[in-house]
Amino acid sequence: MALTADQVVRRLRAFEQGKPLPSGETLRVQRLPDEQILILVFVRMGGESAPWGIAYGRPGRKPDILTTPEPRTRDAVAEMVAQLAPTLLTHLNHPKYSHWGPDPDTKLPPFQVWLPNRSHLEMLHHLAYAYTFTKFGERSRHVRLNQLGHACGWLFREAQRPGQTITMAATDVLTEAYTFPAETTRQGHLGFLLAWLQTRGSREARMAAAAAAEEQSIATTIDPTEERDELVPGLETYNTARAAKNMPGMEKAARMIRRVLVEELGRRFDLTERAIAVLHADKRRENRYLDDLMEASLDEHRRQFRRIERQVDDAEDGPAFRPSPETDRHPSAAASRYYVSEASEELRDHLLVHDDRELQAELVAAGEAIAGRIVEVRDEGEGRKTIPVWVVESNGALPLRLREDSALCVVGLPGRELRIRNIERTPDLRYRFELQVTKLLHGPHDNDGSVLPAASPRLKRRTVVLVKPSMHQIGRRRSFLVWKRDVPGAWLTHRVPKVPEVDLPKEIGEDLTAITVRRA
Amino acid sequence: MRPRGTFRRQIDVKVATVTDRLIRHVVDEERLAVVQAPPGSGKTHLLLRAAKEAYRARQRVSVATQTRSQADDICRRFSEAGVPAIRFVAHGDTGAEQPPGIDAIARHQDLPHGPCIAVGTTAKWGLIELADPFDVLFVEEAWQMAWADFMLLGQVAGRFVLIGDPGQIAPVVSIDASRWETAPRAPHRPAPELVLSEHRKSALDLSLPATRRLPACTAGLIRPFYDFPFDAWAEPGERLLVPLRRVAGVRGAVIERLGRSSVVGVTLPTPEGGPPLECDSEVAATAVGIARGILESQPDWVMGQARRRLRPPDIGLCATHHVMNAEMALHLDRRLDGINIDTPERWQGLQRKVMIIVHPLSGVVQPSAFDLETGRLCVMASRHEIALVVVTRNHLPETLDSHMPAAEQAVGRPDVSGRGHHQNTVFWGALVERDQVVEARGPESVG
Repeated sequence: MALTADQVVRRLRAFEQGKPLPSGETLRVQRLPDEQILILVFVRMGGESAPWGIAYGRPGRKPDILTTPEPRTRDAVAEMVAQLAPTLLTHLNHPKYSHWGPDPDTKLPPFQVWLPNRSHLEMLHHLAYAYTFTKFGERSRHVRLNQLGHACGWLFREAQRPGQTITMAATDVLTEAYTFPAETTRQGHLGFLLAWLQTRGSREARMAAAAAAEEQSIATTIDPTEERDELVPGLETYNTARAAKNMPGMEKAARMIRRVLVEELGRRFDLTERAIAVLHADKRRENRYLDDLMEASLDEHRRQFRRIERQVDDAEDGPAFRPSPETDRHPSAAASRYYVSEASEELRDHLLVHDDRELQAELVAAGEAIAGRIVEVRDEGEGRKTIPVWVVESNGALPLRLREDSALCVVGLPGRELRIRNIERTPDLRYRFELQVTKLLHGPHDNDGSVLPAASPRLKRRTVVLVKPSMHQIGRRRSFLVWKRDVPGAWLTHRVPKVPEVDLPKEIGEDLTAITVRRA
Repeated sequence: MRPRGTFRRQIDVKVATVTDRLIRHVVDEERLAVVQAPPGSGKTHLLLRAAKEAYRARQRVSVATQTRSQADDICRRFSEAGVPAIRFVAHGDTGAEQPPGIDAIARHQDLPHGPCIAVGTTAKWGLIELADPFDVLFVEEAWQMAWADFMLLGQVAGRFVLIGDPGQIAPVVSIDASRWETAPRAPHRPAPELVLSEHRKSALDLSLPATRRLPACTAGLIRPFYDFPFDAWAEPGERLLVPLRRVAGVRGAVIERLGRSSVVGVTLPTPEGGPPLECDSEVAATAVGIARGILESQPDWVMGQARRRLRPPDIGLCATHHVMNAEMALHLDRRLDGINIDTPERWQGLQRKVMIIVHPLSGVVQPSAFDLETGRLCVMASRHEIALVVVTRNHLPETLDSHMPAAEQAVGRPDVSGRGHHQNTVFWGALVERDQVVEARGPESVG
């Protein structure tokens, strides 16, 4: 993705100073206690999608490590992945594993799942593909694997939702929190980022450390040379011994393979722990609106994971069905999730800015917000009716993307909304905005006196930053309304389309007819 | 040379046929019609005619537009035609002044239960729960409407008429929509695309035959952006700028070429270290310099029998980035008062006699799929009635030549990047082939 002008300037500053620089006045990730975090790390064989080994555990503790000697044996991999299920499902508060019980409406404490980088997210997607609908193996195992597939699928989908606070790819978190003096493509390597952050000394020292760290793979794939030289011989020995039914030979080879995999997994786990520690050591405070985003994430977790695992339909959020790992084939499900994603982006973009002056400055520089001084306050209302009008002047040299009729709100007081009635240039080429205050005219209900009424003359000469208000409720409402199918145009808008990609076997796709019937 | 008059009569006959078929379809209470239209072909006029006839047939008619200004424009045109209508407005907008015969209503419970025409935005219609549905819903600029938004309109009526221009800017998608790329009903794709993919056989599938806005040679230039054939109502050479004064240099070369064809390209050298990011002051100054040069030549514009002096309000400037538009605005002076500058999104639905645009790929040396998508270029290249000047850095042909886009689309989906690359190449190649590209040394050479 192309960089914005702000990002280019920040990156040039980082190059100039020879070290990563904090991005933002506040941190935009919640720092949870260790017991609310699960680190999850995978390695796989080149060209395979199934894991070869898995490491998982809490920060600061020795991870549990699972490996299989031969990752191309479906049954062995399933056996290994099934062992991960209880820990992951307990952490995700699956109704059958949660310490808080099965009720989807129970209020849960926040939690996070940390992964080294995005390739590990993709592994979650692979696991969802492999196990969401599997019926392979004995029943108790495939039920557990189905549950794990659902959990991995939900984590993967949730990771795509803007503003989510549960699935944390460490590289994404660090690159959002800091600006690194390096090309974008290199910033997907966690070791590289941590070397920049944690090496002391000159630019050259940091750069050399980062380049050295980059030599070691942290993605789910293992360095091809290492795989060829250290793992493949062990694998060949293992398979030869297996063909000869030579158990001691198999065990010896398995130990050899495990030793390499443990080292690989341990390094990735350690790097992820260090990323978490870097954030905990950061002196910046957390953005105070992160709590709202965490609430939204827990709400999504309740609606899209716990509720569906309990098979409880929801009047607003649709029937309980297992979404296909690939896409949403049911038109209402696709549209509903699309609107939720839009609403989430709206919430994230318009919420955090209220508590971060750097974000505000970026919006002002882009012409998406106004930073100015109130030069006039008047009340155009008659009788007891109040119609507060502000005149605000701001720097006319900046670009402006706002138009007359645009809605804005006051930074730090998001409930106070305004509408731009007029924009003009002053003789000294400043912008002059006439704004009508449309909401929160008198102040909040619990006003302790610090918020003046919008028509108060004492507001004159105050500086204000005005940003766009969040319209996320609209997206949420649409996500509910789009499930309504008893409508006259449903024959066109809500019918399940008759195209080949809809009719998938049940073991790989959701049952669309059942969704439609339950909805009706 | 085609025989003057005969050709236009053929177009008029085709338009009348399309109009009659659509009116009959609506009055006969058929369920689905889709009308594709090139820019400036009279699609809103067609919508107004069909909606009026449906209303006369005592149907309850709803109209969904994609913006408030489109809804206001339709209401104004209903008012001018003496057709009463309702502007279904947002709460708080009922106080806005409406044209004669137009009533503003904000609450859906207050909409009439009998025959009427109600005009609102897709966003407004999609957020209510209508107890008393309409008979038919017309959707204006339907290709700008995402499928998810159309789903919400299923409650407005049981019959649909979708009218729009498929070459223009697709629905804006700000989120990562990759999860739905392979969905049978991808919520972010233009609604008519999905409707036609499944209902083409059962729907009344019409297209308007000609653009009335654009000069003949522009129609030929933008035709590759479309999947259906269309012509220009204007005869070749009948729309002209006739300068009264000679202007020297690059500006003179531009005006001289506009005498031969309606579209001219102007290139500036690309700096050694590559073009500036986002805001290219030299390109902005050049675009404004060309506008100034055209006005200094004191031209009359000629369209058929009409002939008038070209004034600044007859000229529009357009770039895809706000910062570029702001930069161009800084170069305007009093003599250029009245020239409108805006983004292609805001130019949609508007027109000028002369447009001067900054090519969307100017300064983009590694075009992404978004850059190669031709919706913006198509809007920018179809706002003029007489002349279009396209300004760009001269790396453009080389960039297109050396950059082969990867087919990164999901399995089974069209190669939009590849197609955009081809369309961009054809567009610029046609200007070069017609010797319609002028090379400027820099903004100072334009004045």
